[in-house]
Amino acid sequence: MNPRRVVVTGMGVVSPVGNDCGTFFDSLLAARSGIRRLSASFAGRLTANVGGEVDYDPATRFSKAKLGLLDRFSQFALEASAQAIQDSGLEFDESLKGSTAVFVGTGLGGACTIENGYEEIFLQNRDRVSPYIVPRAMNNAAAGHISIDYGLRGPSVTYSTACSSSAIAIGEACRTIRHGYADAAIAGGAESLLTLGTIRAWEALRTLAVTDTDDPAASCRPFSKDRTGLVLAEGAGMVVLENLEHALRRGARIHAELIGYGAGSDAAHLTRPGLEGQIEAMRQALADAGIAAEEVDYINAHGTATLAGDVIETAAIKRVFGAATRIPVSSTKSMHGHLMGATAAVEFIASVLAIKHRAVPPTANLRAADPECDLDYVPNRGRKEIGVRTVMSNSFAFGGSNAVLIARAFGG
Amino acid sequence: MDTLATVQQLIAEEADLKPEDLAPGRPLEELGVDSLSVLMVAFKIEDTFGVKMPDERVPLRTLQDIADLVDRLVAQRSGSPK
Repeated sequence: MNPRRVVVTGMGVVSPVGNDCGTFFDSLLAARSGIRRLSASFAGRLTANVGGEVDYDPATRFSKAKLGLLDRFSQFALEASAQAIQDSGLEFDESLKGSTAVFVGTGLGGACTIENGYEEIFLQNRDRVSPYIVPRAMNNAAAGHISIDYGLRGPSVTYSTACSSSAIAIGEACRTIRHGYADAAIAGGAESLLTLGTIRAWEALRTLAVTDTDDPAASCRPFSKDRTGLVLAEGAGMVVLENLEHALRRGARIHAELIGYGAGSDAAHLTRPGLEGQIEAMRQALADAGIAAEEVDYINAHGTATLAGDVIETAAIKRVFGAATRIPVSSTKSMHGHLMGATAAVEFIASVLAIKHRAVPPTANLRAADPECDLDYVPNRGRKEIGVRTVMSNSFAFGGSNAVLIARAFGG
Repeated sequence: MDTLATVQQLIAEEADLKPEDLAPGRPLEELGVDSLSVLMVAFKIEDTFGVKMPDERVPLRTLQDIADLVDRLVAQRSGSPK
């Protein structure tokens, strides 16, 4: 059986810069940051008191009874999935329900539920806690809910590889369709981990950004000489992937073709990024796509704004694309923050939207040039009317899991 | 407090139903109240009535079953020696 071609026919996003693809991409192009001082009551106890929060009222979408079973990360996943499925125009008849898979990436799953549960047990000394904690907190909850809501009987799987979770989810979904195990997949990631415990734990790693007190929205500064670290965020990105024949037969509108997926591990250090591993993942994706490096028009970088990470990614890009490359590279984390398990999906969507809108989102807050980071990072201003046919989206995670996705305009 | 009416209210809230729709004698599953919801209601009953639901699984098929159990637990709690 020949490998099938895989296309993106639907996209949905819930993010600190917009809860639909239009608002999301407009914000990015306008260099509008969604990073703010955290609104939670415990924010005053934190040093790292900025984050990318989603502005969203779950009561507008879910009934009270349904909400009881949904941690915030599942709510985001369902919202993004609903958008993507509606966008795709897919109608799930019995046959398609049987051949559609669900692939979700998440880092911490039901983090809010777990933290509330521990508060009840350890702080309030309750003998009995809510029976809903297990089904809400489990990492596979989001995938389960998507499968149940739409009656999807293909495999529903959850990948947890930290920052690359949703890139792996999308890439593995692509392979599943390519090799005929499914005709379609709902794939992406969801994360909601802005809890006191989670943020405290991250503070201890000393890798979070120092809040810019004059301009909190500018706290995340990838590739800038005055960068101080990453900013945590929450949200979800989901796409509908479909086998090309199936999409063409039903007259679907195709956003882009997913042509390349490269995945590998640094096998070096648990937290420090590895140069060779990143190079290998990008090369693998290019080889999988069957294209030369020069054909890529835009790279959405992992670009977390950590001191080490940005330098290593820059060096890796130069090794793959040539030291003198002028390919535009931007980190949209500068505006939406680091959504952890959901970030790769959200950034993949930004990359596909770049193709559709022929526009490249900027790296915001790039105020001071770093001699070690000297690529074209599209500083501070988005670029419109650019020919963007092929895009690459990078995700390089703690634990050393690297994943790179390549998408290309379909037809024409 | 009227045990049956209170329990009816708690279940209605949890299952997003109207209290009037919860006939005391009909199996809860038939009324659209699933097993997870019943567990959650048990939790709220403990808080509302100040009782502890028994660890042994007592069959709670209908609203009347639950109300009867609560009455028994409240009686035990009030009747226990000081």
